[in-house]
Amino acid sequence: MANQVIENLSDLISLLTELFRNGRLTSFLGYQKGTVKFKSSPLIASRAEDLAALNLDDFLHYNLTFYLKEIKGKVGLLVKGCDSRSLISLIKEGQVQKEDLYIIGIPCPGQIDVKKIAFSMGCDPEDLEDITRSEEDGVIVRFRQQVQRLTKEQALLDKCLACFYPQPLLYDVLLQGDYLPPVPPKLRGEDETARKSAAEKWAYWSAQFARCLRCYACRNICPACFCPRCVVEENMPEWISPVPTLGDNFVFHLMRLMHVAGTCTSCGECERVCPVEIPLMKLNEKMAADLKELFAFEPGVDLEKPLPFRTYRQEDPNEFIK
Amino acid sequence: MFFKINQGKFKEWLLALKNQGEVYIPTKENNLWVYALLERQEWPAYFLNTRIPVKNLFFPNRQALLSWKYEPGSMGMNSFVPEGKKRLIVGLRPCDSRSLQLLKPVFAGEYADIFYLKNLDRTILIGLACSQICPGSFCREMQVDPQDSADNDIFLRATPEGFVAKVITERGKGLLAQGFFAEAGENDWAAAAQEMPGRDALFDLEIVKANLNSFFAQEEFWQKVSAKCLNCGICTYLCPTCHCFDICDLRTPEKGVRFRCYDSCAFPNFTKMAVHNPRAEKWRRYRQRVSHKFNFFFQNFQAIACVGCGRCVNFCPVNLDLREILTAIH
Repeated sequence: MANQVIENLSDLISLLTELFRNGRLTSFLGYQKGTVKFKSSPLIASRAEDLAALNLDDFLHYNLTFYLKEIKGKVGLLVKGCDSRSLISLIKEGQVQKEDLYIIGIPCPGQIDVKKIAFSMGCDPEDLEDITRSEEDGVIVRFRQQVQRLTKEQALLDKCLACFYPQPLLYDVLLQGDYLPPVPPKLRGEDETARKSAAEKWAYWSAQFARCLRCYACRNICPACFCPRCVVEENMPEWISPVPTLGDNFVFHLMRLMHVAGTCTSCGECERVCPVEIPLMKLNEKMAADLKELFAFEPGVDLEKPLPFRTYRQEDPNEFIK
Repeated sequence: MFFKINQGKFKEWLLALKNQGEVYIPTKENNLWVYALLERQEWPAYFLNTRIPVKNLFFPNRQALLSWKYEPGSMGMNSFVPEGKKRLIVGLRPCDSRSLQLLKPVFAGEYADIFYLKNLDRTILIGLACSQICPGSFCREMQVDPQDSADNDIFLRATPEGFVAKVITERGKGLLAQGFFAEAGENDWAAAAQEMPGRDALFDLEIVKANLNSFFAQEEFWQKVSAKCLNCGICTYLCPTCHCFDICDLRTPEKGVRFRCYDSCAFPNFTKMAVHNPRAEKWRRYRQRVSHKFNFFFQNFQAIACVGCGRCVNFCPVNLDLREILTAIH
């Protein structure tokens, strides 16, 4: 791994421009200013001239690695610590070759959870007027002529508060900045649904899945959902009906969950984009905990360790495998 | 004709409306605003607009059309009769009220869709002026007035004391003649109008309309603007005017139910046919969405199939902003 450090954004643009010019890059995935508040927008550059729009602000939620499903060739991209885990997963799955990528690690102080802030202020995300980072790792929020200071715990995504990998695990160069040390962060609070009875869990998830519109945004934004053909689109035979019935919504979500087990790094993009607020991260986290407990496996942290569901061992203790 | 009502009486009136039929009001459920049946929830002190557009109550994502049953020697079929129970929706924003009228020629054309039309017929619409411009919205560019709407039976403007109501239809008038409202005048109505903090118009709709045909063949333009689209159905499913649907059977060998559910032009298999897919590439599908709303729909029905509500902008997972495309075409 190279240990080159890029000083600032304009140096980064110069470097990328050079890489475009000498053919080392055919595309670049980054961030640009968004058009609505508290959002940036993905930047897809296909020539050096497009790089002028590159911008890094306080809202870099996107895990850009999902675009690698579609954008092929020599691709350069920005990755936060969590995004780099998706890259490791994709390389292990044979979806991308590391040699084709130019990976630029960027610092991440934890991403701001606009929904959580709005919830704690008793309003909708749309009502918040301004959010800026404060010097003490928290944020300053402006809302209806009030100014409030929120702590990191009140302001950041739960996944960021529980992030063990704030530094990119895989990169060609790093953008200079404050990289949080990889100290064990605060653990997530226990999921209150975990302690419920099976009947209560069924009722809870039925209520969640009942409102699924089947827009497939969760699947499409997911870096781990890379199948070129998905079972939901198969119609001969039709495994899952396009009609969003509760039963088929269950099948869709649970099957997707099982299918990305071992590849899903709990990046949380599925939950962020869900237009009807289905708490999909509860499922991802449960799956991650089970993988850790049953297979001693953590997705996206080690390029060498075999994938639990792609491995065959003669001495496997489970009878069914033989 | 104008009336006024104070906050307390308004809440009593809402409860009294339940004697007339099912009452739906904007309600926050599971962290998202929807129109929900009025039960014990309070009238919201403040809301921008519902996440799920009102079309969902008229053209739902899961509409049973007919059922069938097969027994040796006989085949039976039953239509589902559209519901006839009266409904009242209170608190529709002007954009959503307009969308219901825009969809009417689609469902009342050569083939009259009994489900949509019956739903329209059985529902009294009580609109509400906006208090703020929603993020991502461009209603005024789309000629929807956030402070007034003729697409309802009654239209309300909020005041610090309560509401001023404008009666638009006869059936609306019937609802106000129940002792809750006091008569008001044109000046009360004008005084209740809220200043909407604005920005300059992003584009002139007439110019967009005129330019769209010439943009259609510019493949590079569409490839560029659609590059970040992830082919999900959020923009179409949250759109108050998108109305493409699929028809599917849920069945066993002996019996089944035929459903209508939403479909989206953003999906790669939307136009999949036996031989090929005429819109296999993403840019063709995105071009279709914009062209359908701003060009083809206009050719068919002399109206633009967009009310500028901004849901597609605000809830797009990758901030693909329709306003930027319209501005570029302008």
